[in-house]
Amino acid sequence: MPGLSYAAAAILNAVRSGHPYGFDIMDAVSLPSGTVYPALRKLEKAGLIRSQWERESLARADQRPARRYYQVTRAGESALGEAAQKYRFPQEAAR
Amino acid sequence: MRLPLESRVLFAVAAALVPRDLRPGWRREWEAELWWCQPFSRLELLQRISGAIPDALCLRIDQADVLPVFRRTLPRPSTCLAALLLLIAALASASHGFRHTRRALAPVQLPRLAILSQTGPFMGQRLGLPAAKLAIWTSRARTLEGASVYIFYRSVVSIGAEPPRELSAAKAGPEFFSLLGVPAPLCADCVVLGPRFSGELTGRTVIVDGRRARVTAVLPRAFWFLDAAPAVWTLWDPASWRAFPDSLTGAVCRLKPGVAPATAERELRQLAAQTEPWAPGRRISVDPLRDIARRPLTALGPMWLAFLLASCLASLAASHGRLFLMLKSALALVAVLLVDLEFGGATAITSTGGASFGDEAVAFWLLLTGSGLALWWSWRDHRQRCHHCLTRLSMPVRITQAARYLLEPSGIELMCPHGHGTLLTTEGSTPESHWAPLEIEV
Repeated sequence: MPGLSYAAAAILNAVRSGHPYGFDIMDAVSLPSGTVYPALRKLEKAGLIRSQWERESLARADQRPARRYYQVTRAGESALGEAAQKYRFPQEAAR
Repeated sequence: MRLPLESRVLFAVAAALVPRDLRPGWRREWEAELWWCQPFSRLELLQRISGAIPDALCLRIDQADVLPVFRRTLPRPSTCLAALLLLIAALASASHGFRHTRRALAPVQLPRLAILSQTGPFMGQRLGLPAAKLAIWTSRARTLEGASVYIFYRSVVSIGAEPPRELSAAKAGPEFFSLLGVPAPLCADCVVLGPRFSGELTGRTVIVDGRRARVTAVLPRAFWFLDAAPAVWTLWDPASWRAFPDSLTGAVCRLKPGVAPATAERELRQLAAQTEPWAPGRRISVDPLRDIARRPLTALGPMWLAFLLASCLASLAASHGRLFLMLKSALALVAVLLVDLEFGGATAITSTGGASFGDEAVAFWLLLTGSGLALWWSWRDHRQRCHHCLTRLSMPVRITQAARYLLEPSGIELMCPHGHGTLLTTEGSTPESHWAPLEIEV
């Protein structure tokens, strides 16, 4: 993915900082769901993040539906490293 | 998780946009996230769910292709009609399914109930009645089965652990709810809560205007008495009004079976002539509640129905271009009418109806202005559409210069994206539009 936009880079940074699911990322980067979810799809398609479903048994124990968690791939780490030279991310994203 | 109606509709639309093979996973992810949003308000929830549409579009089409798809779709006449229908659907959601309009259309409501009022000398305003006069009328009139006073005001209310809030409230006579046929007893140290509250509050203690009172009933959801919709009903205390014998209160009455409002009006006028000195310009009115509820439709509805009927008849013999213009104008006008009916606050226009006098004037002004703007937009949009396929014209090109308009026509030329023709709008003191059909298909 040549050159991340600021929004995409901020979202990638939020995922790496420990905000693994959609609405948590939204709150971390203060971007609306209409920006965050399409960006997550694009990042996943580009191989910068990967997603996996939470274990059903864990969710069932809490009597709630299982969430989809995102995590940064190795390619995402290097893309984020490049983006960090270009942008300054807000500290709140870090957990 | 049970979502509110508007969020459910939006979510269903977004889900329909997602490709079928990706839909189960997409739904699962969004539903899992929305499960955590249960404490959110309807607006916050709607804001979160609104992101589902771009997300769904992103999955449907590669994001780079979204803009060209929009560019292709937006100019179509069907998109214009769909947008207007979507606007009407949004109005339905915001107005709880056209609450006022449905009430006005309901077959029989509040039988034999009427609002008593007298027209004062000031600009013919309909005012309430002095409570003492109502007591005389109730005891002497043979056409009235019963009557009760009511007044609307603002009250400070504290319910449970909630901090005190200023809410709309009403005071009513002890027989008020029995007149309306609602089992909700009012007494000195008790209150009745409006339909917005949960029935679980019955029997609990609330603080109204600094006094503790027991909740004897919560009104049913279908309850309606004019548009003031008070949150709290307390007992009207005649003792507190003795110091102001000429103060006016609202008055609702139930007519005896078979008595027409006009008959009751005649009798009350005779009673007034016998019991009080003559006053210039005063007129006593008995307005059935059913008519007040229907007033917006009876006042404005026929105009729109006539227009819609005329549009349908005209379109039968006309071209598809005129049919589209009529449909578009009718939908835009219906949207304006619905906005006015649902949000204009003109359902109850008397001083006893809980709406201020200004509401009627503002609602009427909004209706006229809105209708004018809707028709202007409809006509302007129509002039910039292809005469053949009704697609919005695009690619504006300036033709020659305004300074040379004596030698050749100058102006802006628009072209049909499908190549059906060009529209040249000339400049000058009398701008004109010339449609030139093309034979080639692009």
